[in-house]
Amino acid sequence: MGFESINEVRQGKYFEIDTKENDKKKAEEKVEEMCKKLLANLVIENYNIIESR
Amino acid sequence: MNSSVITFPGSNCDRDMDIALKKFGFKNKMVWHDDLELPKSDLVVLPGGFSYGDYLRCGSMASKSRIMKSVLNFAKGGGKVMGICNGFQILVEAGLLPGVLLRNKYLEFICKNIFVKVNNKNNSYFKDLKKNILELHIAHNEGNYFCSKEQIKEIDDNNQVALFYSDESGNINEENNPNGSIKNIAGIFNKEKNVLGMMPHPERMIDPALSGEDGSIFFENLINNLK
Repeated sequence: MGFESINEVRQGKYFEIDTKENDKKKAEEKVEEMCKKLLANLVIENYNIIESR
Repeated sequence: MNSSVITFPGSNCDRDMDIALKKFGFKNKMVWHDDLELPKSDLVVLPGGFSYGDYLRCGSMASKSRIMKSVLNFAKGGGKVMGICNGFQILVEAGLLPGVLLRNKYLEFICKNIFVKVNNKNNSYFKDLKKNILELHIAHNEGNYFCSKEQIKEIDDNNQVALFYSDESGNINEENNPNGSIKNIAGIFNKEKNVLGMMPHPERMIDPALSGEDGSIFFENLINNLK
């Protein structure tokens, strides 16, 4: 297809989480916990919280 | 001997397992995933199927269902917990067994009879089993066992491999590895050997008219070991 500059492609899952928590730091902590407990399997996956607003 | 089979939404081997357990003398109860307490059990079985439609990852949602708290406590107290196929996936997601089951190597759903070699008989599941190689059935899309290098070392050091995929004579090599599992692993134990997860279905091999009888050999031996 002509995209010759590509080195590697990674596919993953993307979640948008709407929370009642107003404190950004607390919300991130909760999401972190969710990732560890359910959303990601750390044997094969890693996760990254990319934006909270 | 009392056994319990947990039914999750999407389980489809739960009744087969119920029939198999009863055939070999277990008093079996079916337990709903949303229940809080396990009935008095000598063995708890997580059956095959597609719990929660395999959403997120196979077994991940089921591993967090309400009954699993009791199953975890039961296992931590030394209770015998066996997971078959999707049940194996649930056990790794619940953290009762190490590793994870990835998509099959050739990206196809596999449904066929295979042979497994029993690796460790020093436990209540396989002690005194009269055969070393069993013909069982597999039916899965995610049976490719994977774990980290540290985990595989620990598994080896503690003799936690229960079953290897093999040929009829017990040769373990890439040719008879159906799904790409590390070291041909078809089933593993926890360190204490009271929790067993395996991809093959012994409950599908209990009727000489329909299949083989190697599942019968397994269940007969299991109930005798638990007595």
